[in-house]
Amino acid sequence: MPKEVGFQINTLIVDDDKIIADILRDLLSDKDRLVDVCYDGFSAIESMQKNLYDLILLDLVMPGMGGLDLLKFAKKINPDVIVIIITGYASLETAITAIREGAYDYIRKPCKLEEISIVVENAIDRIRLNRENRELLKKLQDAYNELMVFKKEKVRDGKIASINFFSSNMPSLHYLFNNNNSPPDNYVDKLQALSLLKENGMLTEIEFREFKRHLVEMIRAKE
Amino acid sequence: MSQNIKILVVDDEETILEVFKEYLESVNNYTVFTARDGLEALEIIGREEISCCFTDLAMPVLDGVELTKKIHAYDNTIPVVVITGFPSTDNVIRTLKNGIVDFLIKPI
Repeated sequence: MPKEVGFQINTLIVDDDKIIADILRDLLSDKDRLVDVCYDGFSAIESMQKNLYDLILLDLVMPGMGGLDLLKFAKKINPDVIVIIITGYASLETAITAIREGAYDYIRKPCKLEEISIVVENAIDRIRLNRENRELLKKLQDAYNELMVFKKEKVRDGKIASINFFSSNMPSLHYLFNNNNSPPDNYVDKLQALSLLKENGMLTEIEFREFKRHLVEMIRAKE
Repeated sequence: MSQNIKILVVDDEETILEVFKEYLESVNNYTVFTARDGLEALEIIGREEISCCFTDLAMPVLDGVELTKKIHAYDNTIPVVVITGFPSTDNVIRTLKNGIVDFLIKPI
């Protein structure tokens, strides 16, 4: 099983045109980015099996295995991977197939390096956001699990039997973050619920600030 | 399970709306809402918990891509499928860049 590397963005460039592939590598290489290059589909498959990539730039037409087959394979190995197709042979059929297979973007050659940079930067922003969301959800799950353990211990000890965070008026963290489709008004309730959890010592100052920031971002995203 | 699924179909062609509604309601027992333009669609999106949206691309007032952007600004978990009678590579790429999940070509 490939390992995920911290906050580094792992990128794979697949193009049978070595000059283009090397130019893209130079363009995308950065201290926070590890960039691998493959010049054919089969070595790309091998590389995808060894490493977990966040971003893949694929040439559409290559001898042996084409970009669309590689797109399917990449998504099968890692459904979260962002794949950008770069092609000089764009057709209606390949573009529709790329959508169906979950391509993030489709760049037609000839294109300016600046255009590729913008698309890649947008893709990296998306990767960071997805990663942040996953981490936040994990923290939330951990906090929820801790709360459940805390609740069980307290009920068993009989010290605070009168307080039940999940059946009294105390809002649960599950309620706070589980309903992504809430109309904007519900966020006010959620913020109030969050304050109540903090007042009752269920959240640390850091956790409170982090959850509040997440909620505010959700509200802004809805606006 | 399909009883709770609400689908929104947006098209300025009445026939398309009727065909989609009749087909989806009869085959899968989905609840189908129809809108003749983007603004009507947004009103329904705000009112109902829509699971999936099919939209025409070329429509007056708000086209399919602009409508998708507004839908996703409200709720980015709603998948949007484009239906169009005038497919072009440019249109497909434009929809791809805006998070549309599939592309159907009329006549369907």
